[in-house]
Amino acid sequence: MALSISRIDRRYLYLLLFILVSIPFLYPLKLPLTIGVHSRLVYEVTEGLPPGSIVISSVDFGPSTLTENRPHLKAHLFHCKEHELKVVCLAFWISGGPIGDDVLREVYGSDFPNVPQYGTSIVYLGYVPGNEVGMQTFGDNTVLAKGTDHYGTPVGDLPLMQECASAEDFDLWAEWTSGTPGEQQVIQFVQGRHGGPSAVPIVVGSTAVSVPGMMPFYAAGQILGILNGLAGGGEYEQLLIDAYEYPLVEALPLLDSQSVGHLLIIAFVIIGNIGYAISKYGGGEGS
Amino acid sequence: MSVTVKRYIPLAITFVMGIIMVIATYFLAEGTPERYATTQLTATVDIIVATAGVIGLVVLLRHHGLNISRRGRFWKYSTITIIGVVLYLIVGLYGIATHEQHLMYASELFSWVYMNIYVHMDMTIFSLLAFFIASAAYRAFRLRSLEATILLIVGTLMLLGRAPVGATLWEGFPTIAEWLLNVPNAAGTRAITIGIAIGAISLAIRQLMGIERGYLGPER
Repeated sequence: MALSISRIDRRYLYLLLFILVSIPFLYPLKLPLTIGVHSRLVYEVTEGLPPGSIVISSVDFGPSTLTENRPHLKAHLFHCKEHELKVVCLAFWISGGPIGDDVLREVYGSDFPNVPQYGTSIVYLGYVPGNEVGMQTFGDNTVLAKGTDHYGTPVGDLPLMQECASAEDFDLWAEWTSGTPGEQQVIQFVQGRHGGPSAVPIVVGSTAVSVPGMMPFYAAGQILGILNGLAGGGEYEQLLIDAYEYPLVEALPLLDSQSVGHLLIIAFVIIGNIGYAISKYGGGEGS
Repeated sequence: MSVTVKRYIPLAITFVMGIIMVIATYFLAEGTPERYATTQLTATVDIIVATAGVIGLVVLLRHHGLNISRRGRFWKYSTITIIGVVLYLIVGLYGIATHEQHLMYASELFSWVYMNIYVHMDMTIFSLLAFFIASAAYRAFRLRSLEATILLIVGTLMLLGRAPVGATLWEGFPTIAEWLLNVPNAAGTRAITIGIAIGAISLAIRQLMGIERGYLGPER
């Protein structure tokens, strides 16, 4: 028996995972969602800013983590728009450039950047080269870091960029990341150089796998809130639904599949260990 | 190439630039002309990035071109790589040629190719990880030792605490998951982070002093 358990063809496991994860898409389970402290803090920090405050929204992820990071970016941009915050959006990852444009079109309408708010309440600078050096330059002097926006307009022609000359003018840095440069580089090269957490507050939305690495910075107060993976995105969307009837929901419907996937992995671990125990203590052949 | 060009000039550039950045960070106040001058210096990274992009393109085409001409290992994939690079380059150049405003502008076609082809391929590859994790959970996550048992218990608690099903089963799971992240994980990660930072500082000093020369390539 141990032999048969430990030698199941992995393709059957793949098939089972595929089928079970797909079912909630057809028949949603609508499991209740608990809002975590980390997500609530991102919401409260953003909500606590007075209208007109300047938020830097940094798209530092690529397509591979789009499922986790895009709901963070989209929901936060929507929150900023509804709360009348001014947003300077940009990307220090070259792969984030087109993604930022795509998400902004979803939030501000397909005509973006040809919308009334462009230049005064929202600007998209696109890709800013140089990784952490680019971040440092942007914090020191935004115009030196990028002379034009994503669409070729000189930043001198954008009124919002006149108000946002350096990190002294940033009221919040929202970092959407899945690697380097990410939140640690913002802390090192922007926050650390310009007065610390009180001068440049940071909130982060990250892939779940990266969050453990940022907890010391959260504990030290250098990061004020974290959207942790897909679940964090879903929690933030729920908060926005309650407050603003958020219409662009993306992460919440995926959480049922995530739940099923997690349960299945736990089941695999248990079954695999039963096979291992039988083979070890029952005299059978182990894997 | 002489030793002066290969060794001493790069070492001098590293030393001078490094010292300028140290002085700018620790000794120059914000808003001063000197600090502004160093910011202008860091802004020149654009030139390095652009040059590196061209070098990267040439190296990539040369590497895969040679592999195809020699019918080397996986040469068919090299063909696909070159076709992909050249086609996307043409799309980009076409966008620049037809756009009225600016060289930097990513044309509609360029963005369309990125969002509708590359994004989906990259997401597909990354999502395959879910299947490997499921298989690994079944085959490798064994209670072989005390450490493995602790890892397995903590992993299971995190799986339950970070998905809605955990709270549905027992409302304490999310609280446990947050505690694990905030306390034991933060303590361990902090120790690792501080260790890395000290290592990075010592490496930086060695590079500035010209003791660490590994980044210049092998000495002959």
